[in-house]
Amino acid sequence: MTGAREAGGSRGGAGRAAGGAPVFDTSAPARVVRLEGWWVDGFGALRDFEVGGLAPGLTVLLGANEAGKSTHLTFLRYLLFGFPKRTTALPQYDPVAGGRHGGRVTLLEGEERYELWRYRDDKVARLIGPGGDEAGEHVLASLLGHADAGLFRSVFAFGLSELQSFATLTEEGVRQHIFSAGVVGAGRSAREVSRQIGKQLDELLKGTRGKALINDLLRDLELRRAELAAAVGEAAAYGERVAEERRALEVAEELRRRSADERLARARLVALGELWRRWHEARAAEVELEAQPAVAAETLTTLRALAEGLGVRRERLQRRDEIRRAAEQAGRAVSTTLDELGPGWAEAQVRAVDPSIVGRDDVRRWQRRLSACAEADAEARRAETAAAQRTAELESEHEQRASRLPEPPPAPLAEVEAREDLLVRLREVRAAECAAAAPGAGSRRPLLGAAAAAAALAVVFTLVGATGTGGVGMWLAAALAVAVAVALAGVAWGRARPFAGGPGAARERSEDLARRLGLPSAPSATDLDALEVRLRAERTARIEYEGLRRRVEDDDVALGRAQTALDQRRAERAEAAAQLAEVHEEWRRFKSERGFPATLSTEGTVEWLAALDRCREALERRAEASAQAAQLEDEAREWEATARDALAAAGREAAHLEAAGLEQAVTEACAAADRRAELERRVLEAEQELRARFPAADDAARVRHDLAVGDPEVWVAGLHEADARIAELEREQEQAIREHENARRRREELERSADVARLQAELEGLRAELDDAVARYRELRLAQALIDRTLREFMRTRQPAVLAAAGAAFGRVTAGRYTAVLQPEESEDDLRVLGADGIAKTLATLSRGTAEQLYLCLRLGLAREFAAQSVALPFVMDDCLVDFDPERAAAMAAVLVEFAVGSQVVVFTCHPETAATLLEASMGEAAVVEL
Amino acid sequence: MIDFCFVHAADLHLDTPFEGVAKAAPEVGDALREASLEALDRLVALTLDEGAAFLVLAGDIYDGAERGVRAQLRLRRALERLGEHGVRTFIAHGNHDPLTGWSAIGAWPEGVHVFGSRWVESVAVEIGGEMAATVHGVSYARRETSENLALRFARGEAPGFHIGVLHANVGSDPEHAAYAPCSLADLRAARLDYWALGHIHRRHEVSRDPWVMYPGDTQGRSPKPAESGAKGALVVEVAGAAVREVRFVPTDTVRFVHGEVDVGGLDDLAALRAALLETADALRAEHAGRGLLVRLRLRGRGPAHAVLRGPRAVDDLLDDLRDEWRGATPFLWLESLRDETLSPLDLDEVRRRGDFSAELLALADGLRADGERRTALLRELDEPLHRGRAARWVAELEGAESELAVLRRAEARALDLLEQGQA
Repeated sequence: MTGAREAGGSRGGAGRAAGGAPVFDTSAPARVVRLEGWWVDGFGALRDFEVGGLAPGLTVLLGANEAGKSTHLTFLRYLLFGFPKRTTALPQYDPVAGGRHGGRVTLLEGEERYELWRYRDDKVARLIGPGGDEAGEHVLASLLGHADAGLFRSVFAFGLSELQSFATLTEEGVRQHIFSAGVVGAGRSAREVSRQIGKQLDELLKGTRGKALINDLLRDLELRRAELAAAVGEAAAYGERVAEERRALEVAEELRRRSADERLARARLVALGELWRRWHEARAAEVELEAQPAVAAETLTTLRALAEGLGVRRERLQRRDEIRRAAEQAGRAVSTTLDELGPGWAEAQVRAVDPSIVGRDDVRRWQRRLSACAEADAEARRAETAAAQRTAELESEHEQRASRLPEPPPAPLAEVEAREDLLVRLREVRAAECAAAAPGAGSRRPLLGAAAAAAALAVVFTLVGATGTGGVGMWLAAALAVAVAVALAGVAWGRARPFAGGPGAARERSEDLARRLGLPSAPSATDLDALEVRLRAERTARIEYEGLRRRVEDDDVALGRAQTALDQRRAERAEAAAQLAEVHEEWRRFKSERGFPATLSTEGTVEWLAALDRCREALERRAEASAQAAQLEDEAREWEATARDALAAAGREAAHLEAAGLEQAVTEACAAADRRAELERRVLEAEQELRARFPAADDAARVRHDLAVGDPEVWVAGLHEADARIAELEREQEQAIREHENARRRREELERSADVARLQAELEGLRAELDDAVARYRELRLAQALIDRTLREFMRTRQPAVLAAAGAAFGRVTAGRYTAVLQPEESEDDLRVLGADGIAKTLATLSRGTAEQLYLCLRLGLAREFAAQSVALPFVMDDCLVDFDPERAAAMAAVLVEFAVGSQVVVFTCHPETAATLLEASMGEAAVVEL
Repeated sequence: MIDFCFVHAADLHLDTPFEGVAKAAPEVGDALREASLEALDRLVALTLDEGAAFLVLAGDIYDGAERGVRAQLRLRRALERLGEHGVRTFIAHGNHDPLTGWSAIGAWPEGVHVFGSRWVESVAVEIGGEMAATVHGVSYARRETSENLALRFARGEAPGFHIGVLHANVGSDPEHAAYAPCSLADLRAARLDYWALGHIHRRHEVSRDPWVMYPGDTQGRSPKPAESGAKGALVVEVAGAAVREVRFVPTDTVRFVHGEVDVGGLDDLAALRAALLETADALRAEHAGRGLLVRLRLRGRGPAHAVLRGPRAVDDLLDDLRDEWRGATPFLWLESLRDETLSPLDLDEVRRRGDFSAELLALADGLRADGERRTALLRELDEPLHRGRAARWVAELEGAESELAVLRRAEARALDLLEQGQA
């Protein structure tokens, strides 16, 4: 932290300057406010800088160049009166060494201490009062005597540049600036208020044609008044409008009448032109009518009816011929169908058949019945045939099987088995002999097992073969299995068991057995094997024999059943045949009863009946056509008779005419009648049109005459002339109608119009606004005048004190070279300095240093005057004595010391000699603080 | 004698604008323009409803020679309607609509009698075949009629009730132009029973012996006191050839009313606004059924003074209050809000301060005391208003304030500005 330190003998308060009468009023001002010190938080190059130890009187703040003297001075201005807006050209002194932009100034009023804190980024400053409470802005304003920043800078806190800047101003400007800044009311600067009012006045009225409220209102009023005058003029012309409308209507009516007359004349010409041809045609028609005989209306009606019926007549004749052809065709159909019905059938017989008893449905029922019986008969025959065929097949199979049975039958199976048993025993005996002869017979147990298995198989096969389901194969298999079983058993037995009676017995036994088997007594093994094969074959043959025999027995049973069925089918067939025959007999009777040909089948009967229907229809058609043709013929003859009568009545010869001639004659007679009617119509229409166009009898007579002798070409020429006149009249009439409409519209608009009232209302509204604006203008004008005049009076009465003080100080500073500062009576805006020679000089004649001394003296005078009126504010200046010569600097120092008795004086300087001068002038009482 | 009644109206000023009313909302402007004509319709309806034998119109039916066609045709239709019901109308023209003025009405409808200007005409009125009344009247030939026309009237010998119809300033009321000036004695000398007068817009009973009545205008026309309040016509009941009763019946559709609010004790703008609304609502209740043009005055001393002196403060408050009643039926249009409040400053204290403000007050006091100097100063200050086109218009302004009033307001304004921030 950089702190200011006190230097020199600061004893508080300034000492009295030596020599001379006091320049300033020595009585203490009512209120004195002084600086106790300040602390810079951040401001330009200054950072955390405290200045204190300021004396109540004169204080010299001594600092070298760049010590920040000017920055301190500006800091004081900004702290006390606020930072300038960024938009102004004034320097902002943003902190460059850190710190918050702003700081604190401590003020003293008597014993009361105030701390003023102000920072750039705070909206408002904070003023801490003596009790530590925060005081408002108004307290600060009061402390500063309601001075503003400009006044403070101009009079109380200035540097050399501000002091010198006065030299660049005009003299009037200097004075104006100083005095206007010094003259204040209790609150704002009176001149500022006057300027503000002036601005408001400019917004109300600016010259005679400027852009301001009253000017605008006046313009609007002029405009409305002119519009109102026009509207009133319009309203006053109401009667004229009514007359104008009436005149326009009369003109339009007159033109309408003339136009109507012209149109009538033109219509007459048009009518004559249109009538002329028709009228002359009517005359020619009259001539032609006279040459033609008249036909009685009744006759004419008959002829017209005949003529109108010609088309119908021709259609009927054509129809008659067509019917005749149809009758002939029907006759041919009758002949053809009679032939189809068979010989002997004539129209009378056909007509005699009662259609109601002959129905195709009956025949069809017969057809279905006969078919059913025939089918049943056929079915019975088919069943009989099938049964016979089955019986034959069974008989054939039975015979075939029976023939395969061997004769004699193979040995019974029991016999074969007995022999096999013998063979087995023989083999056993033989084996026992062998065993006895050759020890070491092997184990017989497995062979016995195998023989048992073979025996079991043999049983199975036998059972199967016995059920007949396995056929001969099974029997053979069973036999084989038995043989194997026996063999195996034999082997096993032979191996296993020695013969009980010994070898002799064995041999006997063997021989016995061989014998019984038809073998040699000592058969070889080959014999035994051959026998075994033979026995096996016998067994097989017997088994086959048994199977075949059982099949033959089954065939016998089946054959019996087939024969029974065949007998039944035969009976059924006989019954169906009888049924069929009976139905045929009934059908025959049916046809016979109805007269149908007996030879006809049911299908033939249906076709025959159709032929009968066609024949009957043809007969009917022929009869009907013949009747119609006869009727049409009668009508044709009647028309011809009527035509002959009518033609005769009309004076035309027709007795000898054939049908075609009659038709032509009738047509001609009608055409003649039509022509006569047409001529009569022409004459009549011409007359009717004439009467329609010219109803008045006289006019009609004149028209007849004009038509008889007039020239259509002349009429056409007249028509063109009339058209031209009518077109002209129409134009004139349209114009007249438009004028009448315009006049009517103007009149109605006038009747409806509220323009006068509206404009008057607007005029009154504007007048009321003008009234308000003028009242405001008067009020402001007078308010401004009151302020300006008070200002002048204020300056006039207060200025002498200021000038007297300034003059005394100036005289002291200039050592009597100048004795006073004067305000010439002839000019309120000029100042003079009075020389010791009694000659008044303008400020422009002063040297720069002298002028600066004068300006400083004037400031002292103003500051003292301000103190007298309000508050003695601190008087702060920055090196303002540098341009003074030492004598005058010393003299000015003395004046400042004297001034410091009533107001605090703070002098920034970088010149130690200046500090010394001030210290000396104060007789050492001034405080000197080094920055 | 047969009993009957008639209706006495005057100063219809048909289709003429409201004076002293600055721009109003469009719907209000329309209503104001139609007001005088609607009052005429109400007058006709009143006459028919009362079963009046006739209607008497005592001058100034139109506002001026520049009267519009619309008004004349509307009058014609109205009188036609009366004629259709057998009600006669007697018209005496006044200074605003003298006979020399042009007329869009070619011929008056049946039953209308317009008095001439050469002499007093007397028209007998029979009701049911019986002589009921004689109506005497005379019209102005031209606007500037300063002759005492009352002296021309005389009762005559006809029996029945006698009515004089005249547009005149009885007693030479200094607030009104001195047209056909006359005195009550002049009227009495004619020995009529009832004087149906016109010209003074404030309803006024001059005398009951004989009856001398001003009905006032049928529709108020400006914020002036004489034009404020209820406006209409008089229904005169006659029994036995004497006035039995005179009744006033309003015919106006729009009414001018005044209200006043003392700002003393009103601490802020919200309180002031509430007080103004309350005052206007009270007026609305008092004059129910009619469109109101309200002029409110703010008076007294109080904190509100400083608020009201802010730029556009009064105008903004006025706009806000107008919005409050916008769309109301019938309408209420706040015509103006006059700030006549005074600064809470103690002027004597200021005078004692001896500062600039004190000097200013001294100067104002001097001007107050010295009329000649004040007039000279104001004339000097008004000089820009008397140059160019402003000269004529400003000279025409009727409502110019007195010099003292201007001085008072200027003094207050200057002090307010100088002392700003001191309160």
